[in-house]
Amino acid sequence: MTPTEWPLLSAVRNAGTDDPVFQALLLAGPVVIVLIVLLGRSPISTVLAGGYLAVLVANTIRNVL
Amino acid sequence: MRGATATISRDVGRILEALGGVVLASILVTLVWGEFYAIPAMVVAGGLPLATGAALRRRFGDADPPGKLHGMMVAAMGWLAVAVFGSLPFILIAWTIAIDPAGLGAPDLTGRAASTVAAFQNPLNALFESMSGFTGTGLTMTDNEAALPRTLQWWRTIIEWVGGVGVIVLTTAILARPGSGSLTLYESEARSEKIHPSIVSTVRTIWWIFILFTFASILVLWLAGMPIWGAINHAMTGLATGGFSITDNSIATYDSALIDFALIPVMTLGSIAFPIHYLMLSGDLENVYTDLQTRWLFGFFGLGSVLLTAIVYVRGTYDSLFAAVRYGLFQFVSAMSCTGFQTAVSATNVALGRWPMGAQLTVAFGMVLGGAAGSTAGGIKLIRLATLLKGIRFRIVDVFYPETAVRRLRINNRRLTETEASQEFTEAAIIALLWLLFLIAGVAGLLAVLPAGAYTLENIIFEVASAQGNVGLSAGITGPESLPTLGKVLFLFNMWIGRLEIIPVLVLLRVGFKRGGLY
Repeated sequence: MTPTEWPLLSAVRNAGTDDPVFQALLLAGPVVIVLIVLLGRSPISTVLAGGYLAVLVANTIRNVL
Repeated sequence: MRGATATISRDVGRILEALGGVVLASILVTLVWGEFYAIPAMVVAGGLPLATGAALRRRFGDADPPGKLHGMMVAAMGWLAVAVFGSLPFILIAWTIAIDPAGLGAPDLTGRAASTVAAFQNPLNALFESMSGFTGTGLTMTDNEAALPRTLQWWRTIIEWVGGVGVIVLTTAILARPGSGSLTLYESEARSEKIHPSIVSTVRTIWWIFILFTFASILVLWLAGMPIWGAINHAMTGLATGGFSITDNSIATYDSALIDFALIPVMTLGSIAFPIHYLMLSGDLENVYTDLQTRWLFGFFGLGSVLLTAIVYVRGTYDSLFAAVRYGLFQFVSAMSCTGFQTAVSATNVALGRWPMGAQLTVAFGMVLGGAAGSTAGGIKLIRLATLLKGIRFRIVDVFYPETAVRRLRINNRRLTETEASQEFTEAAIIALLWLLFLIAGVAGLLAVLPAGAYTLENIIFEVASAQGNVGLSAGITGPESLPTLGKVLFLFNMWIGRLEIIPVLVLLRVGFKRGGLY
């Protein structure tokens, strides 16, 4: 079984988005939120949250261009 | 009709099974917060719809596939059924805390916390809360949301979130009708593609967009300064344009301009049609711009916010222009997106119910109008307003053309034939008329059941428009004690028909009355 065939990953892959960045963001979202819960409001968690949003915006802009 | 009963029963059964799964999955939150006393209540609350749903699905497993009539009846029946079964966590947890059977270690609540939770011992209050959640309304029987057990805070949030996805699926994939906006998106000549060719893949796409936006909204609110538990709950209810809060004074509790402004894009995302989000994320901005509903949404947000700001500033409700902009912008977007988050409360500034009459009616106008069809917003919807205005203009201008002239009504880049135009105009007119008739009936009903002189007429119009538009802003009438029993029943009906755009409920009632020999 390859990593892309793991149940969670294959569910995301089949969820309707063909964009690998959005797929990665869907998988990373819960992880980022759990890290925020664990770390609290810290520079690391702030960078993680800001980075997540930056990737989302940047990928949308990239799709437009 | 027996065949229809089987089809509807099977599909409602499936919906109940899904509801049971959501309740049981929510036990994870109960465990995380250590509210172990609530576990038996949640197991029973999840097991009942699961067992009922499974029994219905098995009993009617070989029923015919659903048609258009079935779709409407399943939607109406399904929303009612999930509201009824969704009230179980409220009732069972409230009673667990009240009597603490088997020494489960339930908290010993006092004061407002005790009365807040105790309100859900009354099944009508619990049903009201559940219907308000699943319809994305946000009117509440809770006196102090912060005092609720975390399990119930979460349950209020998840039912609004699930209800939000449900209504998008309903309007874009299942009940797409001429004039509903959804069919408009599918059939548009100017549009490069449908979301996806099948209902299943469309629903999957809606899910991933909704989940992605939920994560983004949580992080935006957290970065704006909201604690993570608040960010999770408010992002979910904000994106679903539901408006339930976990704090006593909704968003005003945080008293942060940054959080207020951070919620504006969250509520806006929820009120844009989800097929448009798909285009946007795919990089197809041209079709996003040409979508009439999206353009009108931003236009109305801008004009309404400016008007509301001007009224509250000129009339002296707020001393500074910044405060007027902050509260005017937030409350108009909250109203027209049908979210119902409130920043104008007496604890921090001036309560909505004490705003000038013109300001209250401007907010009520936004609530009646609502956002885009195909979004989580309620109200009449922008596509219907556009269809009505353009249709009226078309009919008037028609007089000036010769009888032999072939004319097409142009709506949202589509050129409709006479027959198509007539069909869409009639649909929009019927729904708008029914919406107003039920609004008037609701106002009359509320006037009859409320104590004479207790509330102004604009307060009552505001509250009924809020319930029927699935908004949730309150002029102070809704509450476990302040709203009489008949008023609660009336609002249950208003919220139900408002969410389903009236016609599916009337179809269900007609069939029910006919079978009961009353019609």
